[in-house]
Amino acid sequence: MNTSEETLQNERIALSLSDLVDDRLSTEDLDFLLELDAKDLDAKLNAYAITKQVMGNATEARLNMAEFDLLHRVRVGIEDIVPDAVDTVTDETFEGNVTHRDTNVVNLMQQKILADAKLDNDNASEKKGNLISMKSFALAASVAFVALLGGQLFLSQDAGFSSANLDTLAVASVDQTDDILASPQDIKALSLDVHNERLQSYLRQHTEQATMATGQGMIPMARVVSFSLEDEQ
Amino acid sequence: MIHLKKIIFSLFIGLACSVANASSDDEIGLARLSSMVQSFSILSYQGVFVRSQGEDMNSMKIRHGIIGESEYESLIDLDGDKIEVIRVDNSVICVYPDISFANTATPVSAPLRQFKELNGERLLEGYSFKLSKKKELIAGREAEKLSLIPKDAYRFGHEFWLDAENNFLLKHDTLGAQGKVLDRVQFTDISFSPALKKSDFVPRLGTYSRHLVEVKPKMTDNKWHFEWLPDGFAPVWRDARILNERTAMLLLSDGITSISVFVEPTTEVKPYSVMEMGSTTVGEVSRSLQTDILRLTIVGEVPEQTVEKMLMSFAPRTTL
Repeated sequence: MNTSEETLQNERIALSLSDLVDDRLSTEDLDFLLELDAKDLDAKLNAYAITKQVMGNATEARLNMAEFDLLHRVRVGIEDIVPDAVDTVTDETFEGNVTHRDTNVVNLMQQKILADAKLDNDNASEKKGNLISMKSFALAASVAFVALLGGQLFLSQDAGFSSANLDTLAVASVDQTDDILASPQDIKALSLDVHNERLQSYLRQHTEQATMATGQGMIPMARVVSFSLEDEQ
Repeated sequence: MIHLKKIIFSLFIGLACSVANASSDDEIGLARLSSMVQSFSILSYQGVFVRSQGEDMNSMKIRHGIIGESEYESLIDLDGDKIEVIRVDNSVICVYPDISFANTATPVSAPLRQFKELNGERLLEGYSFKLSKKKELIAGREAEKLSLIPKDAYRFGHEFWLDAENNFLLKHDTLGAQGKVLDRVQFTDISFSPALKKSDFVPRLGTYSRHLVEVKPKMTDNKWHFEWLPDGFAPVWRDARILNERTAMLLLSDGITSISVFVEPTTEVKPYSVMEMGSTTVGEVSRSLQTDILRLTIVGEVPEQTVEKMLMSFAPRTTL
């Protein structure tokens, strides 16, 4: 292909990509783009096969699969034509290229991962159930329980999933972000705050009402007083 | 003292009649336990007790006396910020170090009258009694140990060290299955002739006091029941108590141990989860019951297996 042919092809690619973005792409132009893409894919796969053959199994070659993605190629094509138009598409489309401007997406991702992880855990431990929330509650409950009741927490060991796992998952999902408004820990805390408050409220209610049944004068009130003290702290 | 002996004797006779099948040990144990409960309201005392759970412990000063025609009682935390609860008959105030502390602390709202009569029949369903004649010294006083031995694995054991002279509770251990102490309350100092004055129950200068008002709880029909309960446990309230628009609370007791049940609607079914803190177990599950999904939470000083079994046996009443 000589220079003029290459120029013409590039112009057609640019126009086709522009039509694709504007949703005006004709069937003919679509075939043209797909054909180009297939040729390019073949060439790269051939190059990869040759490289792998040469290097044998001693070296693990890695392909950037994104380059074979038509959408990726469209984005690159548009970027060549209208550089400033790309960011919006990038942020809303590629999870792997999340930037600091799209913290909502990050948060949604984190929440989904947290929810999925929690769901997985729920399914995995039918007998004992998950202790993620209880563990978090245990930390919060230590506020209410530690001082006077003494606060040695004995969490069941067979939950099979810990909040540390959860943190790792969440961090791994957003490690390309630079400036996240809410950390995974924050999100976890936020999502469990209501749960903790509810359980602490139940614990308090139980402690207060149970004083009726013990027949030990004001001694059980020590528990109730402890709630007030620790809540303040 | 003669008066106290008469009370103990009458309690002994009463309980012995009501629990005809009880063994001699059980009868004596019930009478001593009942006397212990009474001693909290009829004796004058001033002392310091320590409450421990695991490695944590806290000390409290308690005072009680009959001055004139009124009953005075106070409890002050010695290790924290010295929050104090003072009761004069049916009037209770909570004393805080200052107003800002009071505004941030969660208000105390425990029932003003906590005593309830011992239910001997319920207790005998769940425990056998054993009184040790061996004298031990607790807080400088001779004490006898009364053991409440659980008849099944659905409740914890208890050991009460009672003052040999007046049956006052000097020490109380809650024991797990292997005899491990889960909770302990123990007096380190106690006097039964404290010469208390009204001024001893006046809030300290510079503190901030808040009067506690006991709000009459809202009740609703109890629409649920347990298909299984540990022997001796029964509802304390006939109806369910409404905590808020969504949550109802049930309270059960075997005469010495309490279990609270919280019921509220939720949107998703969740498996059973549990947490244990000393003798207190918190268990939770969300279950689909008839057309609703309900989140059930149980809090009680009972073993985990009791909580789990109760949660799974919770069911709506078919007829009210």
